[in-house]
Amino acid sequence: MSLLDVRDLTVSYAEPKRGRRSGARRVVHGVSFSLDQGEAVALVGESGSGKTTTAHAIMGLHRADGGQILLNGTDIARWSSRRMESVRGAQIGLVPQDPGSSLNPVKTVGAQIGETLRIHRKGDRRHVRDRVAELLVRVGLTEEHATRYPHELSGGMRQRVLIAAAIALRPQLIIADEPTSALDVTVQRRILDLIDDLRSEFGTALLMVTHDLGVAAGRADRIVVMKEGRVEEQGPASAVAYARRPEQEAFRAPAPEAPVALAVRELVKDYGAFRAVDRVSFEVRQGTTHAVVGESGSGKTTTARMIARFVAPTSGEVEVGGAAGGRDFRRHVQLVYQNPYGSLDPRQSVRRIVEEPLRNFRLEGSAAELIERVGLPADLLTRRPRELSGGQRQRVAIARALAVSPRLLVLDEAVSALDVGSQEQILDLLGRLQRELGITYLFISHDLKVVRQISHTVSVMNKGKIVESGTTRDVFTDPQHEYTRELLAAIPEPVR
Amino acid sequence: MKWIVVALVLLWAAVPALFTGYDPIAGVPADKLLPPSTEHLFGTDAVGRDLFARVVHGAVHSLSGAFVAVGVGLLLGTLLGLLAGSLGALVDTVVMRVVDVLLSVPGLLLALTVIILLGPGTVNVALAVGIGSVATFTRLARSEVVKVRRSDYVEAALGSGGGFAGVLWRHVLPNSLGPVIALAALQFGAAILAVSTLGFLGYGAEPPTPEWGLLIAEGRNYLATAWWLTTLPGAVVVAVVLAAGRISRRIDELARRA
Amino acid sequence: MRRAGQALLVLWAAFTASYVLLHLLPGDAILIKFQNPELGLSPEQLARIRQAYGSDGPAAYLHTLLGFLRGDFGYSIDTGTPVVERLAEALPETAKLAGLGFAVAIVLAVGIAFTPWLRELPSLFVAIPVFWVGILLIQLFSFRLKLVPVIGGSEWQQLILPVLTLAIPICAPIAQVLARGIDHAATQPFVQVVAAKGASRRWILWRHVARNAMLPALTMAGLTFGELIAGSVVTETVFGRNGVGRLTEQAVSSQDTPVLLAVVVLTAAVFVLVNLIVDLLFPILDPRLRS
Repeated sequence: MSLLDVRDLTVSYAEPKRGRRSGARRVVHGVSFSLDQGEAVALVGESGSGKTTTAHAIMGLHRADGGQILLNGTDIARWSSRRMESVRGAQIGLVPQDPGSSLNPVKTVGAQIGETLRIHRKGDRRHVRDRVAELLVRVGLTEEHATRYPHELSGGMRQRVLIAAAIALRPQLIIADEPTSALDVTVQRRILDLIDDLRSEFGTALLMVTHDLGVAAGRADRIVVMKEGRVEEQGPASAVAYARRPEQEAFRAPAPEAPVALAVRELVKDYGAFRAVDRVSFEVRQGTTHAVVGESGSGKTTTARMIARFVAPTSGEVEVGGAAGGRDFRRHVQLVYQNPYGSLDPRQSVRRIVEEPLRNFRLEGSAAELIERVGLPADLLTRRPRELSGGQRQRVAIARALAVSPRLLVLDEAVSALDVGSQEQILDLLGRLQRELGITYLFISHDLKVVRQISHTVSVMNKGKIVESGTTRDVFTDPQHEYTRELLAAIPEPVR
Repeated sequence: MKWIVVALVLLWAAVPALFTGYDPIAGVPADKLLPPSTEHLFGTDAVGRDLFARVVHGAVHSLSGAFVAVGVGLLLGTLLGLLAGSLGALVDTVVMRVVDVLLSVPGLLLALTVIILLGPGTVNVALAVGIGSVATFTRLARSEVVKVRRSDYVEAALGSGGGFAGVLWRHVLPNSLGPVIALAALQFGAAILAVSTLGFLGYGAEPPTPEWGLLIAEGRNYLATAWWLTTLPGAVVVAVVLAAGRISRRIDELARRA
Repeated sequence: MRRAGQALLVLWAAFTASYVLLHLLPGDAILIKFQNPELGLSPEQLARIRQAYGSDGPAAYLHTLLGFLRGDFGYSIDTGTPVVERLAEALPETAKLAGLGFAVAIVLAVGIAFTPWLRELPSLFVAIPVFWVGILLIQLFSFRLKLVPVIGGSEWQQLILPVLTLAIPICAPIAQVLARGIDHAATQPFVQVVAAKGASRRWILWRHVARNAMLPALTMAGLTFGELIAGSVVTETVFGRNGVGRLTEQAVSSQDTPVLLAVVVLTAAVFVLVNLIVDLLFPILDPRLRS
């Protein structure tokens, strides 16, 4: 008998009431899969595929409206939320997605780990305290952390706390919902290692929900691929991952000999006593893409903003070939933002947004032409940003940036907020534009997969410094610096 | 419903004669203190005046007072908020400290201080209430302006070569205004309350003007015998203020969805 | 310490602003009272009277400010008695009324916020004129039901209706903020995590949601203190009680600026003090604010 057997599960969401209409939208349509004692299964899919809803339905956090959920042979799909209380925490533990908001900010970490024990009335005050200390040590923290509050811990430490709370009663099954997607890559790997260790120690089964096929392939025995609320495919992890591995594109050819379009020399930014960017220097040749890679807090975004002249450097200089200072600078350098939801004025039509730079500089050209160039249909011109998808919005932002025919485009995590499909399309678009217009890109990213695909040259940043620079091929295949090696090691398997 | 109430009251203020044939000032002494009936919808008062006629004719006094008050608050507040939120740290600090001071004195006391200065009367009451609401408007307008100013699209607008004033006008102001307009609708209700409160305390219109607060104050002497004199005008005030609150919430929703 | 300094600065500014405002009076109260030809006072005598009341020029401002610091609020123009005496007479009544009103308001607010079908009440409460609430209560409880005597009755009987009158508008904003806080906290991811530990609804509500929802409500409760005093003015007028509210109303009618100045500054002081306490209390309740 399987530990968990999900049969033909369907789940719906109540549509938010608008006016007098209300209805239900079905997001999971007849999903079936099973999981044995001690087995690790990954539920893989893009956002909106129904994978998280499926996981929540198993815990009874969301009501199933059809099918069966057999836990040790007992169907719990129809159980009331009340009845599920004895299952949650005791038989199934949850490791949530976002460690930042998944802990109550006004309670100590110890209280929140011990809570699992207290809810299920396991032992007295003393026992709970001892057990919390034990758990903290087991997940790689110390006893002293018990009296800390969540805001005093890093993201990785918080996730350890949440893991401790999930395993406190040694459940047979742990559901990990995108357990590492909010963390930096190097922290990601350590957290996944911890979950692996605990699993082998206690023989716990794991249901891991993730959008990352690489993570799934590296950590699970079997993979269930979901798409639009249905199971698209399931099977042994290696087979599924191999069949679906992304086409390994060749590295981009070394940059052609061209004049230097961007030169950054000894750039420094201090915030008080804190040095965010420390003597950063590099050059980018005309018509090529240079990527600056680093984790959050590495100083890469500050560097980009200094180059785009939205932040004044403490010292050092930035030279963009042919660009004068003042307002004219904006005709040569444009910035594309990470979040296309925030970078477009919600009250303006696409036409007005794209035309704005044309009007500012009294340039020839039309919004229709620019929109066409980024591959959007002309009937979008009258729409407002909220009526567009994330990918469409980012295209509009790129069209606006292209309006002034800039020489240099600074792309600050420009595809990170998009789902995988739109990401690919935007990267294709950027490649095409570069070939057609000969624009130079400065590509800021934490995502090595994307960087590998688009950039000619790379600089790796850590703690404000560039630790390694070179052609993408050299840096990826023969990393010289310890930190670069660690970053590359953290990329999940089939991509490397 | 909320729109109907507001439209109806606005019509009362504009063309009162359409709704009642009775004279709001001259009464028929023989018909004094009649309870509500089909003939006298709200009953009559101590000198035989039709109460409904007085409420309908009073609409213009209470509403115009509230309009002036909200106008003063909205205009001054938005201007101060925009300046504080966009002109840099020094202006911001000065304006916000002034706002702190104004907020530390309750609206009614502030209004009373202004009335001591300007003297009683309908217009002065409206100004007093308006000045009392400037701080609230300023604070909201500033926080919205600051929020919008920090947004990527404002930086992007500057980045595409826009001038400071142009960006302020094209992007910052329109995007900050939604919640401020919603507050104006809410403050309209609050202003009706404040104007009627000051009227009730006797600082507004002179009798026999049928201003709503004054009507209720006059009805107080007949609490035991004529409940309608205080209850019904008060119910009208509550209905209008409630409707204004609902409209405010609706505007706020629309503004935030955009 | 810095917060306390800021509070003092706000107070000083409030004093100065109301002083300047009240002394802009074109025909000030002294002239109104003494310029009456029947009294037959000469201009010099008038000037001397003005000086005695301390109401002219920058020196007078300093004099008044120093007076306030010493607890000397000058003399009432209306009655000629020290303002302090009039305040001291009126203050206990108002303190009783406001204190009880605030306590009842908190109880009402909590009751409303935690009872789903009462959630619509606050938006009704903020739409009702305070004076009308008082009148309706008198009509209902005194005249119809005859539960509370109109005149006479014990002290408690006399307090019930005014306290309710005051509490109703005060509880509304607190209840609204508390309700919104509860709804907001209930949708936080950590609530789902607690549910995933097997916690019951009640456990989640009392141990997690309530604690987080309380913080904004506390701020709001502090901010309503100003309204509490404003509400007292109206309530005391409606119920004919002799308190600071009544004193204020009389001061406005007779243009008695020293009294109004003292009331305004006192109100601001209470408001600033209460909100200072709230600010200092916050780090104790919210560990994120402890540095």
